[in-house]
Amino acid sequence: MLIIKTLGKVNISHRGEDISEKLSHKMVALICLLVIYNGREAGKEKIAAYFWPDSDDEASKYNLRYSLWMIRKLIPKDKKGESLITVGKDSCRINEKYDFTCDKILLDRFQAKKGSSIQELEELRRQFQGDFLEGLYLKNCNEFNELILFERVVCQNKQIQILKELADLYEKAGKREDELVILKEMAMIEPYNETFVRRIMEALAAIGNRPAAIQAFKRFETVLRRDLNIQPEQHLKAMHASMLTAPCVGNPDGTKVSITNRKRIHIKVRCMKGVDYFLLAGIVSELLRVADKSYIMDIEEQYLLDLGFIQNELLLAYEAQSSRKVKIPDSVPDVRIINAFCKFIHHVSQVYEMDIDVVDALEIDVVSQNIIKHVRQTEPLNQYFHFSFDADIM
Amino acid sequence: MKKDCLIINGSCLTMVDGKRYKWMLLRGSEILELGTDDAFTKYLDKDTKVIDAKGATVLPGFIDSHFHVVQAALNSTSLDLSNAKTLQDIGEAIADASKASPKRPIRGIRLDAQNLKEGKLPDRLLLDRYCNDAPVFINSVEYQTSILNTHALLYYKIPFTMKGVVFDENQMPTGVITKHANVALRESVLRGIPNAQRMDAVEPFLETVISRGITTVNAMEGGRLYCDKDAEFIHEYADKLKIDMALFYQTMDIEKVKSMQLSRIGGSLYIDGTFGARTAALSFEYNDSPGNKGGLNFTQEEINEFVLDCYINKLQLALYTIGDRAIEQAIVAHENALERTGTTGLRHRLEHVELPNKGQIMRAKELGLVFSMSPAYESIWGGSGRMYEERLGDNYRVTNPFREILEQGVTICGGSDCDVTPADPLLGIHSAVNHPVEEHSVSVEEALKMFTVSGAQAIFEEKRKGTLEVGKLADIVILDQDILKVSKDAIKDIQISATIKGGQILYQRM
Repeated sequence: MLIIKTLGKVNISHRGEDISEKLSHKMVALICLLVIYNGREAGKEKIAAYFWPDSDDEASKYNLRYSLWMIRKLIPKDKKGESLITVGKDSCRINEKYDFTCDKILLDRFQAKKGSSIQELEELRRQFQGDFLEGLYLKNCNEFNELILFERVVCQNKQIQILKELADLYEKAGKREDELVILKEMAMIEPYNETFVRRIMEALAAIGNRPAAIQAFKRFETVLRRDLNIQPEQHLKAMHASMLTAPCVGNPDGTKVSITNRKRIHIKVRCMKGVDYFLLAGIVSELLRVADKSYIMDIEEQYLLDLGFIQNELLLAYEAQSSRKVKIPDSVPDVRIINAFCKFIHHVSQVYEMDIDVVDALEIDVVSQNIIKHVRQTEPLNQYFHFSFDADIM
Repeated sequence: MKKDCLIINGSCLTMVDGKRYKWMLLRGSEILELGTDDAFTKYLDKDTKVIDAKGATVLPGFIDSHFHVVQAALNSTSLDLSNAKTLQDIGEAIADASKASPKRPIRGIRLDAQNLKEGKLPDRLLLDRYCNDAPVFINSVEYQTSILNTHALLYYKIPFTMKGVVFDENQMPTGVITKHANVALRESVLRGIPNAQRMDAVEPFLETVISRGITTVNAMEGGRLYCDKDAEFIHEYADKLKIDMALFYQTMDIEKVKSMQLSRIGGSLYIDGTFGARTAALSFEYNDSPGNKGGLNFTQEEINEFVLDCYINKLQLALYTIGDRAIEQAIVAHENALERTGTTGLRHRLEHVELPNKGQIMRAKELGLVFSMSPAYESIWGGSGRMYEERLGDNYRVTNPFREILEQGVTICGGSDCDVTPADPLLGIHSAVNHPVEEHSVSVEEALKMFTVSGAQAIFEEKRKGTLEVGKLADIVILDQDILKVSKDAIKDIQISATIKGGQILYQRM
């Protein structure tokens, strides 16, 4: 079977053998031109104008005859005796009866919004290995180059249409993971497209991965800032803000789903003998570093202030986020700090699962040791916080 | 063993308390001795290389504090279209470039549509007429627009579905690419340049830089309108280059900068735009664009958060600020961060700072901010009848007020912003001394400081660089005249006789 690949670097293989190199650029281009004509007759004069615009009539006719002869030689008749190209007196065309496949022809059959199935769309999606006739440019063949340019625009638009339809179908079928794969592909093609990012966030939220949705927003915000010096549109920011405040995510039918896919993070913290709360302060500091700040600080302000008493970085981050100065209490009773820490890690555990390596464990302060003991004994916190110590202290 | 190097008959300006010497001895990479008498004669032997400065000035090697190394180098191998006045001029320049290097991609830079008689940009069909056998990729002067010929449209990966691709009435691309598509295209083209090609451009370009007496540059690399790969290239290859690179990664990604173990961040992190494009943020309307005061790229909250993060992470930060509103926003953010953290001593910088008011200068002093300025802007745009006046009206009289800044006690380090202005510290010194508004001008010694000792301080290298003292790195530039004796309007004509980096003579024309 003959396989003609026009999306990406052109490749023509016959019975498993790559014959692209044996054909000249113009021969490859001639085959591709007839592919674009898709079974319609292409006038020989027109073909000559495409490929030999500067040659006289005789020379261009000869060039075309030679090219067709070479193609016939390298791509012989199929088992049914059919030739790839049917040559008439004044025209030629691709013979649709010939045993071959071509990505461009498959793509041309696609019509947007005509009810293609997931399978059909996936088949089309697989065809896109790059731009139409990537790397092909024929010097002085302006008309043909115009044609390539036009088809590239058409193909890129079709690719986006196909991916959109596919994502819609997956969403409708409730296959949100598959939808996500497609949406991410779309976002790779158009990294500044807000609609794609919104859909990615929705799909992630729907499968219960809110941290990833929040991170998708953050990444997008960074890219916009870095590349375009703009911010996301208001509606996307609002969506992000609502994700930060909602403890659970909603199904379209209004029911709540719990977050099952917690993001797993790994931190390392040190101990210091005789300094109360040292280890806990280290955990808060590390969380500020590796977790989504906006999310982890989204608990009642009083808890943040109490906890900020042992970890100043938390207050600084909170002030930076809220753009206002908070009043730091002169002193906070131990019980309030402990309570605030428990509220804090409970909040964190809703979206994160943590592996915490405790270094210099023999030096652990007494308060931190008691709190960790408490966490390890408390359901469901102990499911999401896994401590390991470099010495046997528990 | 390397020979000692003895510089004699010099007017060696140490940049320390006005001290001067007549000779200096370099051993290895350091300054071993300086003197005012004839004691140097004891070093005159066959193992000593002697350079006779012939009474000219000897200075610490120049430090250029704002320099886009990779893009300037790549641009130096590109086709400069800044002088094109018609579409035909563009075409002919392209045809000449094509003839000189057949079939090689042509990158045109600095095309300004406002200079073109036709008042419009060329399209691909016009470019095709002059070159159709190689990709032609033209950048507008602000890099906001690209124009490609048909070959380039087929050669590069063009995101046709993205916002910013201009189509004609037949839905064919015109070759003009702006907005999102332009950003994606530039990123793809610049990313596609292999590091070997970067090196091929940077190495010969640095020879020119060295010939202008520069031994250290602050390399402002990566980020918007540039390419992150440039920053990665400098990070990876800095020690293979002949002069020192202090890398400023133009990103807001603090984690990335920390992971690269850099102690600083920023450079051209755009708080606002430029006077040229009328996008610098002003507190008044542009003289030639009523109702327009330019714009800020961040909200105060956003910049507060970022600056605070830099303080918390102990990163030296350089923010690009041109207009007074941008300067105000940056200073407010620093005040906020300082109040919250109490962290001082990081020598944070404002880059360019072209329009600071007196209050801002005083507050910057309190904050310990360094102003990284480009005096040569005044030579190009300053004074009556030039761009500053066109854009700012009478306010052109208050741009780059060097005198006042220094009097308030704010450190100024000097840079060229190469290749916005040439890599030429002497032009910068000349421009600071000959400011078109006389009250803003500074003395030669003060201007020299901007490109030596203050430049070193601005990157925490004053212990090794910036002055001529025993034990300091032998980064030295020898001029062909005594800069303190030439007429001040002739400073820009002074030539470099020699550039020495770490005791090695990199350039000599004496």
